[in-house]
Amino acid sequence: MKQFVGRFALLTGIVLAGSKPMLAQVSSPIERTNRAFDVIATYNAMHSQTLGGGGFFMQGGGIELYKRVITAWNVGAVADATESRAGSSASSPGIDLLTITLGPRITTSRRDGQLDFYMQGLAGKAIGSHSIFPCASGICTHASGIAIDLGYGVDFRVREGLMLRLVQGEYLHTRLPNGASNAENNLRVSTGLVIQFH
Amino acid sequence: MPGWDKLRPQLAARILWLGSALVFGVSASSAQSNGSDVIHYSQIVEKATPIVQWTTPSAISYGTALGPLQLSATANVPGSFAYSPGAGIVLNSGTSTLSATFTPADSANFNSVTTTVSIQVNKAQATVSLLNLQQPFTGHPLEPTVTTLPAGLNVTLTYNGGTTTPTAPGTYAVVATVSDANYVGSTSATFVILGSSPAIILSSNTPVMLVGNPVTLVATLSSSTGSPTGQVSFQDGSTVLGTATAVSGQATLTTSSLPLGAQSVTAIYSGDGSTATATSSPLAVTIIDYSVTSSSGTQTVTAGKSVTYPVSIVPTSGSMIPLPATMTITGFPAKISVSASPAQWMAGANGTWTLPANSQLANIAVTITDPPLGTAHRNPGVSNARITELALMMLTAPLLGRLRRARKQMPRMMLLCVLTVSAAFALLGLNGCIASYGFVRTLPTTSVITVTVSAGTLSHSTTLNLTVE
Repeated sequence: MKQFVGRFALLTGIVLAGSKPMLAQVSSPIERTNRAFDVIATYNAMHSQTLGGGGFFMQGGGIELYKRVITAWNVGAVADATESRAGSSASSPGIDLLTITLGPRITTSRRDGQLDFYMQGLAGKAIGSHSIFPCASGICTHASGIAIDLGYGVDFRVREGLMLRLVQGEYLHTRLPNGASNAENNLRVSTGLVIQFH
Repeated sequence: MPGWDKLRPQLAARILWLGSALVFGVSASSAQSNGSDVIHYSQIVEKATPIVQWTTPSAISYGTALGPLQLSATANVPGSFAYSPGAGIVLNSGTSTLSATFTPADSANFNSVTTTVSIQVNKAQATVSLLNLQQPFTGHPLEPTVTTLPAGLNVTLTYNGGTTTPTAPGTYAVVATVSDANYVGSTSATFVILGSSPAIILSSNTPVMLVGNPVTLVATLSSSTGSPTGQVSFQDGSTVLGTATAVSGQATLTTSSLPLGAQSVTAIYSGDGSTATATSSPLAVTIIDYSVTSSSGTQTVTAGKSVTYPVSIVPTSGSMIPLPATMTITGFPAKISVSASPAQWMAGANGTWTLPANSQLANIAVTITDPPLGTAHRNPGVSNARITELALMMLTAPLLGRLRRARKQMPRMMLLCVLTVSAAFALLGLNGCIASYGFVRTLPTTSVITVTVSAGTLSHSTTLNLTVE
């Protein structure tokens, strides 16, 4: 957990240090649509399937970049890097799951721009580590595969340039080897801060 | 001398008396001389006869030479004895007379004396031996060989009390009696005239047997004189395996003591009262062992997959096991299923397979199968129902609200596609029935599977290392 919090703080710091958010005044919805990009730092809790049935929870954090691409459709692009982790026990191994995904997001605003609703479909790479993955040599502790993320979320504007991500729900499908279907299903719920740059 | 004349007769009488008393002979005579009458007295003194004593000697056995114990006469005056027969003579058995003549040393005054005694000479004990007491039937009268000590004595044989020398096979009580003037002795024995040797054929219930397991040896005897009886000894080379009594012409021995390797077994019939001995031809019996091995190292099986271990059963000789074999596989996890091939190994209950006796052995493939997830792997105690419901709510509820407004800003088809795909993945992915989805959350377990092959009293095994993920 300490490691995760450290990474989260580091990513957030890098993003904040490398940009100049405009927090001075509340802008109009149109102005808000002209923002350059958003940086989102999230905390997430994820429920993942266990091979053979049942499931377990992971938690972690991530950093996300969002850039509006087609203004007319409120369609933008999202790049997301999120890591989740579950500890090990005497009978089960732990897991670190890092997903790096990219994809479109459709956003709409309500209440004069106070709430942004969005839905997104992302795809990318999933990297599992510190766990057990069947491989050609028997058992590997690292594996990677594709990741598909379908989700939605809602952000609440706190002030100009800063929004609070109330909730983001995602269905995350990873393709990591498990000796059977080599696929995993996950349900991830996130919250975090959205920093908007103009 | 006028007085002398008177005294002369008296003196003569006195001398005579004296002479008689001293055993002297004095002769006196009288003569006239010078006109006077002279009387001469003539006195004859006889020789004395010595007193000889000879005690009758004790009886002696024939062969005992006469000696001092027998020739033991004594006399009351010095002299010597002459015996007849003399010392060193061996008398025949019976009563004989011994004679002794005593010659006194003073033969002038003593007579010689001859005396006799009788002596009993008994017959001596001779040793009689009977040899060649078993002789094969020849069709002619047969008798045992007789020897005596001393040699050459005449011996009379009787057979079952009769004097007729036997010819027919059978058992006869023979008595040999010495017939000699000076010797006595006899002995008895059983004299057997054997019939012809029977035919003996040795067989076994199997030419090949596992070490330590019983082999049944059967010696079949046949004879023209009937079914032989008696003992049959079964030998492995020079090692006696055991003996059995022939019954109705067959002797059977079951033994588990044949050692590993190729053995040569013979049956030796010791004969009976009317049947000669016989030895069978060697019978080859091969005693084998076997080993169970697997050349495979540790293998890893995952859900829905199988691994195969080659297992070999190798006899020390040949390519078959002469007894039914049972293969038992134990030690595998409960969820794992095990199969074995080839099909000649017939599957039984509880992880056992059987192989009929004398089946041609082939390498065995032991296949370990981890059943697909969703069957044996599914944990019925864990349900994803709540998670599924939550997923549906999370993924569809907000979308329903936005659907009306979003259609003005983007193509409806795109929205529907995203919605449909999202819902489908959520439903499929989070549904617990798809148990093959998910992360591996169980540490691999390593099992040592034991493959045991038992046949008869033998049992050998090998181990297979299996990692189940």
